[in-house]
Amino acid sequence: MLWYPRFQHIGLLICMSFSFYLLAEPTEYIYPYKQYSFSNYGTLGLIQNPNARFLDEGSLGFSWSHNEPYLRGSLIAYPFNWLEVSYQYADINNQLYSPFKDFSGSQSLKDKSFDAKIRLIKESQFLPQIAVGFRDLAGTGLFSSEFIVASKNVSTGLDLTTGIGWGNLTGQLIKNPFLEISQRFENRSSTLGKGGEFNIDDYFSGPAGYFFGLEYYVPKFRGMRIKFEYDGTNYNTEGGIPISQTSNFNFGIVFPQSKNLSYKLNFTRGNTVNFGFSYVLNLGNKNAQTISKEKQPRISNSNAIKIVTSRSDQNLYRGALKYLSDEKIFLQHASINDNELEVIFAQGKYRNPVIASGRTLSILDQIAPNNITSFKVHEINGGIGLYSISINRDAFNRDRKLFLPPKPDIDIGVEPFKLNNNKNYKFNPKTKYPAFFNTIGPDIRSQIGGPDGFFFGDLKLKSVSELLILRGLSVISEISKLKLPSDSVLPHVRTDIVQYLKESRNLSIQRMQLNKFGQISPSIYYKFSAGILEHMFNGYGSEALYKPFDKNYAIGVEAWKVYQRNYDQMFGMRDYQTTTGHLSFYYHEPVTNIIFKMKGGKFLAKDSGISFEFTREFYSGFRLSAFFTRTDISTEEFGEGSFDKGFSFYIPLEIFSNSYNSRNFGWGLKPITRDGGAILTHSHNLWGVVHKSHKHKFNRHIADFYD
Amino acid sequence: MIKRCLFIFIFFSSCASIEYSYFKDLKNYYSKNRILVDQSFVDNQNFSFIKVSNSKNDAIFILSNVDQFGVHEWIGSNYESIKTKDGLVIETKGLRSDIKFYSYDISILEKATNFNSQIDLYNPDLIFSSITLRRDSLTTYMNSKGNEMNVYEYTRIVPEIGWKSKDSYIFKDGVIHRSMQKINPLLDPLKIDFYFKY
Repeated sequence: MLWYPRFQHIGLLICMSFSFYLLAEPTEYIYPYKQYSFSNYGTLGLIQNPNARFLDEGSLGFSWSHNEPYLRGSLIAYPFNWLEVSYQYADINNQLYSPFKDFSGSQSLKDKSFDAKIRLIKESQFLPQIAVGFRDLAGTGLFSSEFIVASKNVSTGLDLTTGIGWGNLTGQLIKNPFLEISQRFENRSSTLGKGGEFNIDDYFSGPAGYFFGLEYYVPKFRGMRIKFEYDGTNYNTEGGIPISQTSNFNFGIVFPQSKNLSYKLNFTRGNTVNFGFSYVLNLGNKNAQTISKEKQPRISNSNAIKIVTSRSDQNLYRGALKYLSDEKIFLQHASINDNELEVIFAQGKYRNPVIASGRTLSILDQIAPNNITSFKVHEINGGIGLYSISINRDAFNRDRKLFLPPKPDIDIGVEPFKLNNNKNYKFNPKTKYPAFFNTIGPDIRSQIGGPDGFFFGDLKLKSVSELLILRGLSVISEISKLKLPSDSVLPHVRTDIVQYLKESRNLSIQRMQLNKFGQISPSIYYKFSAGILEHMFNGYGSEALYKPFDKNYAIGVEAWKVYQRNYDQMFGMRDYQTTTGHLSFYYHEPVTNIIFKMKGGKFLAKDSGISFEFTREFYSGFRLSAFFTRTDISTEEFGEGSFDKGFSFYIPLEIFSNSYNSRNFGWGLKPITRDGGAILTHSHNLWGVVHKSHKHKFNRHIADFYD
Repeated sequence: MIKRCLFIFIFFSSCASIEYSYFKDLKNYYSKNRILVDQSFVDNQNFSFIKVSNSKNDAIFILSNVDQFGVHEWIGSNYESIKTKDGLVIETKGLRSDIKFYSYDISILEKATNFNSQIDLYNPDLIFSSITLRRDSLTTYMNSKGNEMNVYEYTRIVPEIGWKSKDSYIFKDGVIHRSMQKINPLLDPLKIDFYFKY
C-alpha cells in the first residue's frame, strides 16, 4: 500500500526554510578537514542514504565498510566536479558464491557494481544542490537503484539531505511521481540479471521511496561530524536474503584522522553496529601531493665556463654535452649558425616537455658565451622528432628573472620537428650501437573476484631490457591456485588469463618486441614491430599516425598478424592465429582536456566493431579513463557482461615525489574478462609517444617553463 | 603513514621496472630530512642558531637580530623568519602557516601564570583572535653536568576556534635551551633547540 508520510514534508520543510548561511570567519579551524564523507554503500552520502555532494575533480578515493552481512570496498573517482563514478565489491557473507561447493568451496557471494552520480543543479544561496544517481548501474541488479537527491548546507556546519529513490531505495514507499508522465514507469523487473547490461527500461520504474537525513559538523572538534538519517533502504529485497531491521533511524559519527583519512562508526537498522574507513587523495592539481618540486641547480662557475666555451665552438659543444647530461638530458647533435646555438636532445626524465625544454635552455644559457644570441632546441624520442623551441636569449633571461612564462608563438617559437639524418650537424657525439639498457625490479600481478577466492596475486622479479640497435630501432624485452576455465564460445584470446597466470609463475617473458620508429613528414609517424608483442600474443605488424603538431586530432591505422602464445609465456605458440587491425581517430578537447579515442576494425577474436574511450587528463598528468566496445557478436556469444567495458586510471609517480621522473602507475579494471572486443596491447603506440609533446602541452603547461 | 604505504605500493607496481636511481625517490619520500647537530657542527657556526624540527624535517635558522625587548629574530635558508621571546615563537614569516603575537612584552619566565594576547594565524587566516598561555607547571632539576634545568609546561588556548595544545619550554641556567610548541592547530608541533654563541 502506498502512503504519503509526514516525515517527507518535515524533511523538505527543514531543507527549504533554513536556506541561509551563517558566516563565521575562522571556519577552517573550527571545521577542519571539512570534506564530505562516504556512506556504507561506498559513495558520498550519509550512512546508508546517498546525498548530492561531490569531491573536487581529480579526487580518487577508497572506502571500506563492514555492515553485517556486507563487507564493501569501493573505488571512487571524480573526473569532474559534477560527476562521481565508483566501482565496488560487496562480500555478502550470508550467501555462498555458488550452490556448488566443488566450484567455489565455502567462499561467500561477491557482487560487483558500478555506480554513477551526476549533479543536476549546483547549490546556491537559496537552492539546494540536486543530483541524480544510479547504483549497480550495469550489475546483477542485487543492489540496483536510482535516486534523485537534494542537499542543502543550511548553516556552516549543518548539511541536510532529502531524496526519492527507486529499486533498492524503496524502504519507505511513496507513489512513483513519474507515473504522472507515463505509465511506462509502473513496473520494474524483479529478476536478477547476469550482469553487464544496462536495464534502461527499469530505471525510475516501479514503486518509489523517500529518505532524508543530516550531517552535522561538530565545531572545534577536529572535524568530527555526526550523521543521522531516516533510512530509505528496502532490506526485504536487498542482497537476496531479507535482513532484519528494527528501526528506520540510523546514527553515526565520522572522525577524520587527517584530510585524507576518515574513520566511521554507525548504528544502523536498530540492531547493527558497523564501522569503516575511507581514504581520499586529490591527484589532479600541480604538486597535488607535494609542496614543490626540486629546483634546477645553477651551475656554480658559469662565468668561468663561458670564458672557456668562448674560445672554440667545440668547447661549447662538449660543455653542453656534459652539463646537459648531468641533468639526464642527452645531447644528440649540435650546431652554431649565425650566433644561434641549435641543440637536439633526448631525455626520459621529464614527463612534461615544457619543463624539459625550459631546463635545457637554462643550462645552455649558463654556459654559452655572450656572442650566442638565440637558442633553438629540439627533442627527439626513438628517432621521432617531437617539437622545436626557438627563443631569443635576451628574452629568455628577461622573462626568467621575472618568472614570466613566455607566450607560445609570440615570445618563443613552438614548431613541429622532423629529424633529418642527412643534415650536417657540426657536433655529433658518438653513440655506441648496439646500446643495451636494463632495469630490474619487483612486479605485482593480481586477479580479483574469481570463484576460487577474492584476490590472487604474485610478486615476481621483473627485468626490462632494451637493446638500441640504431636510433629508432630497438628491442624491448620484459622478463618476469586458480581453477575457473573459460566458458567463452569465441576464440579464447583473453579468457584463458587464468592459465596464463598459473603456468607462468616461474620464468616468463612478457614482451620481446623489435621496434623501428620513423617519420615520413613532421605530421606522419610510423612504427614497425615484431616479436613477442604482449603476454598472450607474438606477431608482427605496423602502425602509422597522422598527427599535425598544432592540431588536436589524429588519425591512426595499424595492422598486425598475431599468433597466440603458450600459457607458460615462453617462446612456444598455440594453434590460434589471426590478423587484427584498426583505423583510429583521436581528439583532444583542449578546454576540458578530455581525450576521445575511437578504434574501428577487426579485434583479436575475429569480431569486428568499434571501441570508444574517454579520458580526462588533469594538470598533474593524472588520468581517468573509461571505455566500451561494441562488436558484431551477440550478447549471448559475448557471455557474462554482454559487451566489453572497463575503466582505468594512471598516476604519474612524480606526484608523490619532489623530484621529476616519467614513471607512472597504471591500473585498469574490466568487470569481467571476456574475449569479444579484445585489442592487442603492443608497447609504444604512436599516439602515446607523440601526443604528450605536442602543441597543446605547451599551451597548457607554459607556466612551468621556468620551473 | 597510509600515504607512504600507498606510495610504496604504487612505486612497486608502476608499469616500468625500477632503475636503481629511483630508489633515491623512495628514500627521499620515506626518510626524514634530519640534521645532526654535534659539537663540531656548533663549533663551525659563526652565529647563534636554532634547529627547528617537525615530524619530517629539520631546518637551521641563524640569529640575525636581537631587539630591545629581547626578541630574537632567526633567519632560514630561504629567508624564512622566526621571532622568539624566551623560547616562545611570537612571529613567523614564510613558513607553511605563520603566526603573529601582538604583545611582545610577554615572557615565559614571568611570575604571572597566565598571559593574554591577540594573535593572527595565516594560511588559513585567523585575524586578531585572543590567546591565553596558561602555565600548568614549573619543574626544576639539576642535570648530570650540574646545570639548573627549569621546565615550564604551558597550555595555549584560543577559545574562538577551540584550539588547546600543550607547550613546553626548557631553560638551562636561565637561558632557553629547548621548546616544543604548536604554532598552528592544523600543523605538527615544532621542536626548537637553541644554540647560543657568545
